[in-house]
Amino acid sequence: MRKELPLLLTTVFGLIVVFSKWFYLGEVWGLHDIAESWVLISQGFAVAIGAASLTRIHGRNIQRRREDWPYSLVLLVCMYFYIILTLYQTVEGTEARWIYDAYITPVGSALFGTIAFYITSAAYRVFRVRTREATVLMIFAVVTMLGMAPIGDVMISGWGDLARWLQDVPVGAVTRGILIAGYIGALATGMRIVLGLERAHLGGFTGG
Amino acid sequence: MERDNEQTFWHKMLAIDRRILYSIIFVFVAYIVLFPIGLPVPISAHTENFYSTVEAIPEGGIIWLDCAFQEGSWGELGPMVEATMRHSFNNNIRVVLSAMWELGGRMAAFALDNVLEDPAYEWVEYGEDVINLGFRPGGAAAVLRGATRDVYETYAGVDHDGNPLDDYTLGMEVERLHPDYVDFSVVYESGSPGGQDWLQYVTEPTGLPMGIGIIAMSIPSAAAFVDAGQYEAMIPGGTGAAEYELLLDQPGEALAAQDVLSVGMLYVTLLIILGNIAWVATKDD
Repeated sequence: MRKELPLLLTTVFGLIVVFSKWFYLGEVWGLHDIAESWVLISQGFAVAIGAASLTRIHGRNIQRRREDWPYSLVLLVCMYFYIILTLYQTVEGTEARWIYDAYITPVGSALFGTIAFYITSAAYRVFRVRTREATVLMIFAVVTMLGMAPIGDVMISGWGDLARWLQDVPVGAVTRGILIAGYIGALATGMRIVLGLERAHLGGFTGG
Repeated sequence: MERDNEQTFWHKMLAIDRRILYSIIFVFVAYIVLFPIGLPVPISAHTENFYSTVEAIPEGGIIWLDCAFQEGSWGELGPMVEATMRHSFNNNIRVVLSAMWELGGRMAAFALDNVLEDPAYEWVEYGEDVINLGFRPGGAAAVLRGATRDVYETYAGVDHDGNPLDDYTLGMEVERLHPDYVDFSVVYESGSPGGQDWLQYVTEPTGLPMGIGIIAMSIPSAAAFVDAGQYEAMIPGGTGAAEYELLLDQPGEALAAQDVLSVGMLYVTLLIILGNIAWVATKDD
């Protein structure tokens, strides 16, 4: 029953969405809207489960003094402090917002900014023309990189146009192929889930 | 002996400390930020098309801008949001801001604050000419579908700051995310959820036309939707934002960043070439 019930629910709700989208009665009965409301409620529970799971895992780290346990302590203190603060003054409260703006925003930007440094190191040490394919890749990368910045046209007139052509035509064609293949794959996976053939979401094994 | 020295040089080059590489890019970028070169920026057809699309919105119309990004993409997408807002205000078009990403609500607020700091837009009244609905939890699909039916209910009757929509004319006027109430929509996307969700849950069911502001890395995937006519227009990456600023004749953050982008790209290219020369010179050893 532990597997059959989730499988049944998956199939029923999958069919509700299909029924609502492609059949007149489905649209009239508004089943999709009901299912969406349930998704919203489920997501609320998912956040609570996530918080409980984090507490359990990191609580154990602290209790057993596992490696890097002080980081677990920092995580739990920050999480519960912010939860209590926002319960008290809502997320729009002065202090709650200040912490968010003064910490999350600059840290997010700084973390992203550090990528620029890693790219320089990777470009120097990793990007090797070992094969013909790698050589073609490097030439395209250099043409595109310089062509998408103003310096390309300053160095050679028309470089920017060449880079844009590369993006619009060969890269665009490949991207479109990948997109179409991806959507066909998603459709096939969706059908397998609704039919109960794909069971990875029930505990890590694939049937059918 | 000479050969030995040469090999030693390239071996040393190959083993160069990464901190030296980091320091050089830091110095280059800092110098260019302090002393901009002002390289010319040609206008691409995509940006010109986007400009014309916004230009075609009737005076008094409404444009809906959604920020589907966070701080990491501010450098490319933030200036686009600001430029679109400036363009809209210049043409007396009212602006509704929203966010598919949790931190996107703050991004919209930053962009709005930056634009309203400009004395040219001191006439803009919050709630009358612009409103920021911010982010609502529940997943993009549910929120977008909800907004196409009832904006007030979907956003729980409050804006990004928690103020009641009843207090704002614009908040009450836009009853639905629908062509009956909104003339054009733009999604500024750096990942998922993004333009494809908007297309699926807003544009396709309601017919509300949409444009896209996209990070440079995702231009090819967005271009496929532009070619298909599903996205009416696109601002391609940070360079596109700079082009937009040029078209508006209002230089901003994106235009200033173009010199830095150029120097950064040139430096990375030189490193690729140097790294390969060093590798070829030493690979037989």
